[in-house]
Amino acid sequence: MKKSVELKVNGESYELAIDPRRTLLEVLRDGLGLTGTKKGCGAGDCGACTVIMDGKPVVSCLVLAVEAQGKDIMTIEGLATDGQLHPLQAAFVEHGATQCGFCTPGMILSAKALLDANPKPTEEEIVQGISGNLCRCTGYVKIVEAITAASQKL
Amino acid sequence: MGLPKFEYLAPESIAEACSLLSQYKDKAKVIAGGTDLLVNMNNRELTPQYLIGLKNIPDLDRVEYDPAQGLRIGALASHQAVAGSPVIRDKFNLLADAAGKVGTPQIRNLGTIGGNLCNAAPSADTASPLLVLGASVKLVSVRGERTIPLTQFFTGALETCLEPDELLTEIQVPKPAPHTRGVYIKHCARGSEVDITTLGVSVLVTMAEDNTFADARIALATAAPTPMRAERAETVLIGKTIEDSVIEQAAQTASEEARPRTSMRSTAEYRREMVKVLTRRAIKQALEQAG
Repeated sequence: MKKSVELKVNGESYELAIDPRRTLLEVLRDGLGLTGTKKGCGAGDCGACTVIMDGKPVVSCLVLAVEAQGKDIMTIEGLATDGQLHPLQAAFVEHGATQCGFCTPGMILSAKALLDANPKPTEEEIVQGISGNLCRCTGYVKIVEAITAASQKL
Repeated sequence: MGLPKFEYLAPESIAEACSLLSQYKDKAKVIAGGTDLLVNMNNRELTPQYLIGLKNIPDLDRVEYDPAQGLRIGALASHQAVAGSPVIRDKFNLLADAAGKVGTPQIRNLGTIGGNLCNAAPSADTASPLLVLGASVKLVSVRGERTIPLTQFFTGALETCLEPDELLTEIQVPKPAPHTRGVYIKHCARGSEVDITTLGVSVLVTMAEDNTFADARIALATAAPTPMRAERAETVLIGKTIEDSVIEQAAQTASEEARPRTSMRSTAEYRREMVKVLTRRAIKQALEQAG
């Protein structure tokens, strides 16, 4: 039986009737059309589905949408403001930290959550901060460089 | 494919949750962080008809400390909350370290310390620190409550003594004696700590003024079907002078006491050898912390 749920995503409120077995990932993509959040492994291991929930990075494939009621959710779509890229997004472009782009939304959100909590992280702290986001393309070096550069601008 | 169908219930008190568990028993599963449960439901290993969500129950995630009662951690406290708690980092440092090494940041923000213990993997990172700290767990049902030592909680691989209608609500950790220091070493075969622990060792030592071990506790992860205390190794240390030969003997004894198996991540032989290496290392690191 569907439950009535209010989801707060990127500052907007959405009233939805949700089947309890739908994950937050499914509802973001299929219910709200916010396809920036990607499905990778579906088991919480790869981090492609990372969103920021109440300030903390979580894997949305393991969050029941009905349990996201009342939480502040940020997806990759919520990062740019007034058409301007967030410094993290700009840094990823500048430093070549994106190849296929599939890990990028989750990676950037993990980085954002890291920098919000720790504005000037060491390289080790950056590596720890993105340890839940797998990238098959880049080998991570340019991702770490981009996050370091963004942290210097923020 | 998605999750299988289930009805979602959201009790607002422990009593209500217990009542639902009593009503539905094996047809229901409680959901805390969901990081193990939903994975098992996705692969159809578990297909409960009812999920009893615990997140609306107030104060089930509290971390409280006072010198008399010690530490009380609500079952729904996330691993990140445990890892970041100032009082746990200060007074129960090995537990904070261990919680901070469970999986990835995303998993630590969702997964709970109580849910993880109830999942009862022999590799559970917080289990061996809690065992050496002498933790107990509070189990509640409509029939009443009981508090049992964690040493009695794990009954087999992925099995606990939790009854189908029982809820683990709290983990209780007594205040350690003065001059006590602990260390948790998480060893992963491929060096990546986001992986399931290949071999874990926790040590808690209390130093006496005459340079002997006033108390010593050793616990192992992924060295037996359950997280285990290495009690024979502990007796090698207790009352003895703190010196290399004694430490070596304890490490050797722990290695003999372990009951590791060969699995995807490692062999029994390697695990047994690493029990010795890491017990020795953990004891020395704990002693260095005190000095």
